[in-house]
Amino acid sequence: MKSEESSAYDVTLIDDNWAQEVFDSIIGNTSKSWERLDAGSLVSHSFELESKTKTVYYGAPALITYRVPTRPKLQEAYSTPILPVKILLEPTGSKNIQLAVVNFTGISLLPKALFGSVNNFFLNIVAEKRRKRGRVKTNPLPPYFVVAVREFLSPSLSTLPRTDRIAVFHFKMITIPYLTALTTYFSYGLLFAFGQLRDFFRKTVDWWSHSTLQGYAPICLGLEDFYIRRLYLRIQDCFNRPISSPPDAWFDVVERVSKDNNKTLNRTTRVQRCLNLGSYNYLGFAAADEYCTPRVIETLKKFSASTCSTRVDGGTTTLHAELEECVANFVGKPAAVVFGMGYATNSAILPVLVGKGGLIISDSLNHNSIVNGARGSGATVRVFQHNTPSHLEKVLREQIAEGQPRTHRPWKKIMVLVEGIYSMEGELCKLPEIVSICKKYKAYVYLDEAHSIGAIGKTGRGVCELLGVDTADVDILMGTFTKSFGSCGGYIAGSKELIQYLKYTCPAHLYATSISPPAAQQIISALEVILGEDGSSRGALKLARIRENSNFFRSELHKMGFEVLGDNDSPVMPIMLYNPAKIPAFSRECLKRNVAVVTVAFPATPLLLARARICISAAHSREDLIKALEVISSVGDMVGIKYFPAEPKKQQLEEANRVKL
Amino acid sequence: MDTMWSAFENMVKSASDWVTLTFDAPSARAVVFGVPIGGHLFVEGLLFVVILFLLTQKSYKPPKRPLTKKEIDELCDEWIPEPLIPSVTEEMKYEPPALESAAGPHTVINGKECFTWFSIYSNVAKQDSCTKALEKYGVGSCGPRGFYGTIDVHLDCESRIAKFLGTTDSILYSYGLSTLFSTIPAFCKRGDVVVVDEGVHWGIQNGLHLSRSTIIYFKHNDMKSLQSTLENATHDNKQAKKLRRYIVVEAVYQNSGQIAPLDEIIRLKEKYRFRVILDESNSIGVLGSSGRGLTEHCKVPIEKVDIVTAAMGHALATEGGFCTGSARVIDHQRLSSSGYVFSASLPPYLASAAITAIDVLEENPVLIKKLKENISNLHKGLSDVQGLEIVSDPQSPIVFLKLKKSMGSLKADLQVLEDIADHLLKEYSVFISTSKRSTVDKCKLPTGIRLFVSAAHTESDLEKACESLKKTTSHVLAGH
Repeated sequence: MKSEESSAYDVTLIDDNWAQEVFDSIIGNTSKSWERLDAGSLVSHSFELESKTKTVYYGAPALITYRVPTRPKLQEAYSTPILPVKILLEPTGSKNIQLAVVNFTGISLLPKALFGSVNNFFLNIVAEKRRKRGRVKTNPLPPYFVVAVREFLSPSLSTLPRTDRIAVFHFKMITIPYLTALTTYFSYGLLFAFGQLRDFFRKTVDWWSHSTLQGYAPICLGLEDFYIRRLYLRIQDCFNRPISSPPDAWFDVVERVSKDNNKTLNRTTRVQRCLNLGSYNYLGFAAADEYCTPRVIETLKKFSASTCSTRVDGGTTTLHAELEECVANFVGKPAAVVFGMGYATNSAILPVLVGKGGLIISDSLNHNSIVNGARGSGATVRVFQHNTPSHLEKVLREQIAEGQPRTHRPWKKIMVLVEGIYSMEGELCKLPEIVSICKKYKAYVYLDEAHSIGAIGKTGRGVCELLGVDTADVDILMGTFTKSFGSCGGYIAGSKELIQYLKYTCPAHLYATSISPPAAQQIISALEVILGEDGSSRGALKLARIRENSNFFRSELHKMGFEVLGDNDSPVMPIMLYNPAKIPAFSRECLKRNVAVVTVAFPATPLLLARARICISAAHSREDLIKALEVISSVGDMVGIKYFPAEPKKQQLEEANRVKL
Repeated sequence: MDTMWSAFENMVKSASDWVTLTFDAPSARAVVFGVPIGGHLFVEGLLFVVILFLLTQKSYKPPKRPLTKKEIDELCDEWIPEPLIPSVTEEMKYEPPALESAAGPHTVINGKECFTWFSIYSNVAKQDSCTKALEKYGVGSCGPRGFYGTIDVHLDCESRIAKFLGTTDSILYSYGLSTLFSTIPAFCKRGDVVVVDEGVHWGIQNGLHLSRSTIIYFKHNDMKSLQSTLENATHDNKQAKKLRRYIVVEAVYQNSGQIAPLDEIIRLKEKYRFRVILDESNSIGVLGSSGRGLTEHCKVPIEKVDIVTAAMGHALATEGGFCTGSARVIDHQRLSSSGYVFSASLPPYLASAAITAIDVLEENPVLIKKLKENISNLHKGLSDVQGLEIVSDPQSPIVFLKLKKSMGSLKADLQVLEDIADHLLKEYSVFISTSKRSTVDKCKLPTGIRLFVSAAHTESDLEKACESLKKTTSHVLAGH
């Protein structure tokens, strides 16, 4: 009855008609099999559907088949496009595995506990009929639906964790609700018009006073700083908030006051103890650590704070050599080179690797450092749709066939730049697919693991480990130490020859001050903790903790009805805000309740897609997270950013009770 | 003759009359709105039809034949990329000597105590402040400045720098190299005119490249060349008045050790109405009577220089960089400078180290005096090294020696200089560095040996070093 140690699970979406009715194309695999599902594990598989209408879709159920090792035939089940609601089923006889399909559309249908395929069929019919009669209050297409595959290990339902085994099909479609889009446009329009009006008066005053420098063009021409002057300054207090403690799970935010309508902000001596949901302190190494800090201070005494010279001019200490070896071992590459800043790593390495006649294919949402590096390289840059392997393939084929612009000579080399976790989307890179495409077309892969190294994967080795990609297939691994390791700097890991070449010619190696020895020591010590070389299991605990914390927080946010982007396991979760006025409202109200969140607006995201970003840390305790959720939920209600209906707790309880009966 | 001519005329006339008559015949009596219409109606009508016919025809386009899937497949199969990196040669395998202790005036390399040339002020009383900061804030800041990466020491450090230099405000960057390649694109945009010294370091070159502005180089540290460049840039260009114009110079050139004549540059800048971006990386803490850099050295008020940047990895013996200037200049960078907005902030302990370094500088003017003595001593000591000549300014903390007779190429020169450095380290335990250059660096100035003078060097240290350098140079050059 209990043990299903090794059993294969297949889940396939086979009802193509259903999909083609509404969607143009399906990107990615609609089927997925798991060789083995451990109790309590959460698996997910996603594929994208390109919408024909990009609007509202009232979908019919999808037919999903699944194969269970104990049964010879394919099992069928229907799913409806619904919100992620998990419904528990009573085990039927001796069958161990059940597919629970949930139907929950808006308010009228009660979640039903239904057994077997007959019931699923019934569910399908009912939903269909109601839809036709228009009695079902239809919702916009939610971003995903859930098929819950449950294995009952215990006859008592109440003892089971809710998220036992779930296959999640994500529909990645960020479509702004119409009304929201409209109001967002309207708000920006209003702000722009009002800003223009103020500019007009300002110009008139300036014209009278003749105060501008004669003969010099102004430092900012025209609309270049319009955004800063007229939009950003209004909500300045939501950004650049100073803190006066380490960026740990809780930190002290220094209060600021403004006497001139937010134009300038002055620090006060008052501080506010806040829960930190903003820092990239994924593994909790930001604060003083029992293992790392003493070693760091020792290093400071031995090597002083800075080497004061570049790596080639005597900025290489024995510590730097040790660090490079540690990093190379950790990420699984023969060699590595480290730099004093993560941003400079990208922007100084790329010009060395690709030059004129080369092609860089970059993900559309890559970090600014990669964009700048690519621009600085002099190579041609093409962009592929964010995290869409099929589009990457299309671009690659086109470009290889076309060759260089105008001359049509073949490209010298092609490099594909992707990130492990996209910091503003919280999404994991579809690395396996991208790597196989790059292999097919002989393009080199450059993976930026700034946010993923140390934070994900069973032993913290990043997105390669999590998604099962051999590091040998990724030509260049880049990462930073700022986030998970609580230090500063960045690294490049690759083949021995690559690193030798970089050390010979990379400007960041030749001209920039080498990484500060205490910072280098912090990385070495943090790596030792992660690998368990310090003799404790703290590293493993931290890694388990951040995964658990992230998945808990994400699922709770989903339940509350927030529009949360990103994938499971990723510690970064953006909550969509959209309207410009909601940016300061959300940030200020959370801060009032002692929760510090990051809101991200224009320079870092597209103008319309403002969001709040939560970064979960291993340093957060469950109580911290529950408090944060309470605050975010109440602020979310107040600000009106729960764009999806929430999962009703009452109904769920009822249903659970019924099952018990 | 006349009669013949008139007969011919008559013939032509009658012929044309005949032709007109034939044309007019179908519409001879046609009168439209009181206007009699001749035969040209027919011709015009015909022409009109032809025009209409031509207009309705599709314009000629060469037939488009997009590549078939099979063809693209073949092309993809055939395409062979270059290797990721060129094959590694012997010289690329160079590993710099690894230091086993702090980089002071004396350090341990491969177990030997060596005499070194970096860190201008060694080990000032910074360790305490660093330790305190490490204990209080941890190592990293775990976030960019915008998102809770601003720690109070950062703000303190910014105001300390501004106070020290006498400017309104300053902004901290987390890396010396990234300071300029973020600052320049924040101010210079496409179309703007930037006049640059040809000897500037790679950080500036990269910043200029990223800014996409029009870049004009002038001869290295040559004011006449600067003047003529400015003249050319403004004279012909009527648009110039509407464009932002910048001069970018280094205070002490990393690639040659020369000092920029700031007073002259300011005069020219005011004449031609350019703004000046000055990189003080190698001059802060060194030049001027109290170490306030080139502006103090040339007795130019700092307000005249629009944008001052510096890396703190040199004299201040910490890391990171800063930019200082008017409030408008600084505030603009806080949202438009990519290296500031998109990068994690400076580790707090390094910011507190910078504060302490400035405090120490202000409290101990002796240090600067001692440094200046050392500089002039070294300069004197090295003025007669055979085969090498000093190109750097007598007051520059970078003593830059280049080969008197070039070996023909930068590469060959560098090889000789590296031989000298290796020999010096092995035989005399004196550690010096050569100015290696990246393949992406566009600077064409000759390479050389760079000595960084420190206030902590003693007179006997310097004498010994000069002697050994002389011996080594003659030994190595004799071999070539």
